Amino acid sequence: MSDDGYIRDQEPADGPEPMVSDAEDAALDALIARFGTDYNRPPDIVPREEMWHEIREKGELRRAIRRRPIWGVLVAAGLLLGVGIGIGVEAHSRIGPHASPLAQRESQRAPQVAVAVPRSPDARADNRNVPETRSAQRAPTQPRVTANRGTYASVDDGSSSNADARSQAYTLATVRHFTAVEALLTSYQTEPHDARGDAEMASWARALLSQTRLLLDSPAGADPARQKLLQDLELVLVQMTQLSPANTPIDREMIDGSVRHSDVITRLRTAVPAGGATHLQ
Amino acid sequence: MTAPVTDITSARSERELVARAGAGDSAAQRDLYDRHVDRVYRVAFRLAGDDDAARDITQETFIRAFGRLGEFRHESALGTWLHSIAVSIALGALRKQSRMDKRHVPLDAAADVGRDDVNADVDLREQLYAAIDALPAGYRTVFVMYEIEGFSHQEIARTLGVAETTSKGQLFRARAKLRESLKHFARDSQ
Repeated sequence: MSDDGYIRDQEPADGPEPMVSDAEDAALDALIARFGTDYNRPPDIVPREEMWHEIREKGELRRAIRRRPIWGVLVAAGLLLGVGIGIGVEAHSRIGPHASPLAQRESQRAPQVAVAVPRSPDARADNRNVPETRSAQRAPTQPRVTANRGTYASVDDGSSSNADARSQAYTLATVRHFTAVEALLTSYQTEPHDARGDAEMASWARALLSQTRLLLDSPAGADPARQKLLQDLELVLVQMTQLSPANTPIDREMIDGSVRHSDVITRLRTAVPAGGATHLQ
Repeated sequence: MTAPVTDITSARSERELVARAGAGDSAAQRDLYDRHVDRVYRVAFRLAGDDDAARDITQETFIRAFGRLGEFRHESALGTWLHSIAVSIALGALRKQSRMDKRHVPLDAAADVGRDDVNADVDLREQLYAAIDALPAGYRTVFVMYEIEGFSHQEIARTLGVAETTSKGQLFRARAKLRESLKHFARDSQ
């Protein structure tokens, strides 16, 4: 048997069976008979009511969490669309319809950035350069007249109230996202690992991963602390998207290790204000 | 030979309870819980060695069981099924966080201890417990279930999902390791 705690019918060879004398065996029997019953002796009174109370509470919580994936996916899809449109509008508004062909090409690329899924370090570097390129193109002489005046005006006029509103919208989206990821991680830690559960977790993680990447590419990722948290979440979520019944305990250990190492749950809880996204609305 | 009427009635009522509990009837879940919790907690405590861990294992066992009652096919007794869940959770928990450290009595330290009868008894007991704690989790599970909790090899095999011969083999090896661990002490105390 290996020392991993599992018992298997096909045991590895553990060397030749030791020869045992009757006297040795009898001595061990006597020892077990004398002291065995006190080994890890449970208390006489089983804390039935306390445990039952916990079972009811935890069971309810898990059922609530299990219902969340659909909610999470819907919210993720909504935010994906919302933030994607936001980025698109922002890029377009900075460039304007009469911008140079180069700027327009950049503008057309904006939605791709918003839904960028594979992220190599080079890609990240490219993305980091995007705001600089955009700001360089924001020449003061560029015309800003557009058909959708109201929308662009709200982005373009540079008033602090509009900037605040946009910043608040990203903060709200980020807080909602953090809440959803925390729900996923809590669920991952408490739910039993079976085939169905793994499939749900992986699907849930995929939805949140897209959103994480989207937020990383948005102004929400400009804040260094938030960016670091989003990057750590990205790593954990990438691992979770690989969840499948074929996973070994080592795969799960790697996820557990990432969660522990980056302390993401604590950081998520710190990042979400009391009252969550509702508080910010 | 026909089964006693009380057994048949009991089995039927447990089937009904399982069906109702699986459908979310909390009264039925409580009834099943009351029938089995003592034994599950007891085994959990024997394996984990402390109340907090035993409670966690017991609670987790029933939460999982209630969530999966629909999958229970009555191919084994409900108690056996619950124990298999409990042991699986306990082994996982022990693997993650070794609780063996709490009785850190070096086996070779016995020779330094005073030798009046009371002390010798205490030492002997502590050495035995430390030796059991030091067993690999699989050996220890079978040892505790068989030698201390009085499960039969058939029950252990069903609970752990292994052959009876495997259970017997595990016990044999567990005992061999215990003898090996305790031989210095036995020699010194003679």
